Amino acid sequence: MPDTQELKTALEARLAERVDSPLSLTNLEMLAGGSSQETWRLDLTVEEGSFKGFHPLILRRPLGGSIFEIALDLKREFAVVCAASQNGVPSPRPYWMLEEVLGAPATLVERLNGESIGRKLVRATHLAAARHKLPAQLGTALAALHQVDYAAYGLDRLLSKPERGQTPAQTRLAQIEAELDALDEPHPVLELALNWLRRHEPAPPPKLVLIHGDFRIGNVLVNEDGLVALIDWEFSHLGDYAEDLAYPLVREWRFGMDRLRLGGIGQPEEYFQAYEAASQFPVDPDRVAYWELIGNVWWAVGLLKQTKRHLSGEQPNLEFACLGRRCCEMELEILNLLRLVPVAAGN
Amino acid sequence: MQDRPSGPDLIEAVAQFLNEEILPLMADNPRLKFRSLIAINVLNIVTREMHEAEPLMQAEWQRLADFFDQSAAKMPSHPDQLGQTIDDFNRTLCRRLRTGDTGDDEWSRQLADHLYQTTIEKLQIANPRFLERERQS
Repeated sequence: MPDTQELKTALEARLAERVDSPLSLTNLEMLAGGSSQETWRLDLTVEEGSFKGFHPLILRRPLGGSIFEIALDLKREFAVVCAASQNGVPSPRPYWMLEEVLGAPATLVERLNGESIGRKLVRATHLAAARHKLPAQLGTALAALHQVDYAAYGLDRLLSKPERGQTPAQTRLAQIEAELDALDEPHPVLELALNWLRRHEPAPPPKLVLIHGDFRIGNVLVNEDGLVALIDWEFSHLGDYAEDLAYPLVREWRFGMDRLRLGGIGQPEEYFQAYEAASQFPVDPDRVAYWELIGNVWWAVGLLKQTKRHLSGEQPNLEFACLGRRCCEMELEILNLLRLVPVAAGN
Repeated sequence: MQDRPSGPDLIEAVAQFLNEEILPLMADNPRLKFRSLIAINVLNIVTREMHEAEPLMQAEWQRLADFFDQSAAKMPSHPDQLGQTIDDFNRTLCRRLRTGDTGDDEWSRQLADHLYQTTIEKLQIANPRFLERERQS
């Protein structure tokens, strides 16, 4: 973590070049959260020119290492946010991609107000009305994202896409297998799920779309009026629309409100209807269920990987250390979804 | 043999210290409060593991031995060895599943029952409250 004053001085120099005006940078402060990037808040006041005025901003810097190998660097993530924000997807206004600030790249985007922490979002009383609106808003926002003409923004070259001759699902299963092999630990429940997923793949999607890749409660900013923005785009790629569609249903992202199948905030029907109304893709329950299962396996591996990052010394961290012990929560859900829980167990 | 207090007793004393003396100081620091709660939770996991893990591992070994038709084999007495043989069984199982093997109906049923039981046993140590929630749902 760099010295705040040092970072402030370096940033002022870089930003003065961009806005071509005297400026003042205030309230620079590191925020908690984010496992692969440093996040800072700051206020920028520009004296003259096209950026004249007050700009509340978020600064991100790479921290080194990420939970999944497919994570985007800041530059590519910024390109995705630019494309999304220009196509009606609620997202923070992107400002600048800076190639070098104190020896590392940095991006600046608009700082929006709202709640993003999942366990608060599903419970906060002042967000009750927002939770009511969210399912339809999420469906509409996701449909807008999946309509983005990604080639027009060069994203077909910047983002990962399925291997040649493979479907998005096959590519994702291969990624999970590679992550598991790298962990070098046996996880039979996850292998059982992969075995089932290999044998029950739905038809390939009609086309590839721009995928957020981590679309769920916890990665959306919400205020009293509902959805403000989709955030945390580092796992964006080209893939099957059902991947994003199913991910907010994964039990982990209900933050304890298990019976509200859509992210602990509501039931999925209204979300599906809004998505279908605004998109060219039908919501097929089997396809969504298939990707919900993938989502559970994907996140189980994510938890194991975080523990590995701690144990290997790559990023020693108490929170990472104990995440591996939460893998069995995903495993029980996987057995539920595969209908392999004994009837006598009462589920 | 070490004198009292036992390992679990010592850990419980640390958990109690964090809970009663440190946590109240964290009221104005949400990040450290959150991390202190995680630390207490970790100590509770370790305490449960020290009390309960060994018989659970023996039961898991027995199920795996039955599953692989090695019921006649002798169960290792040392916990490290027991863990190693469970790991070996699981690696064999994972390789078989990875090659796409589905076995017959009896194999699948026995496998599902074993994996369900093992998952429940992991949750008993790692997060009994999750298990409680699951049983109520």
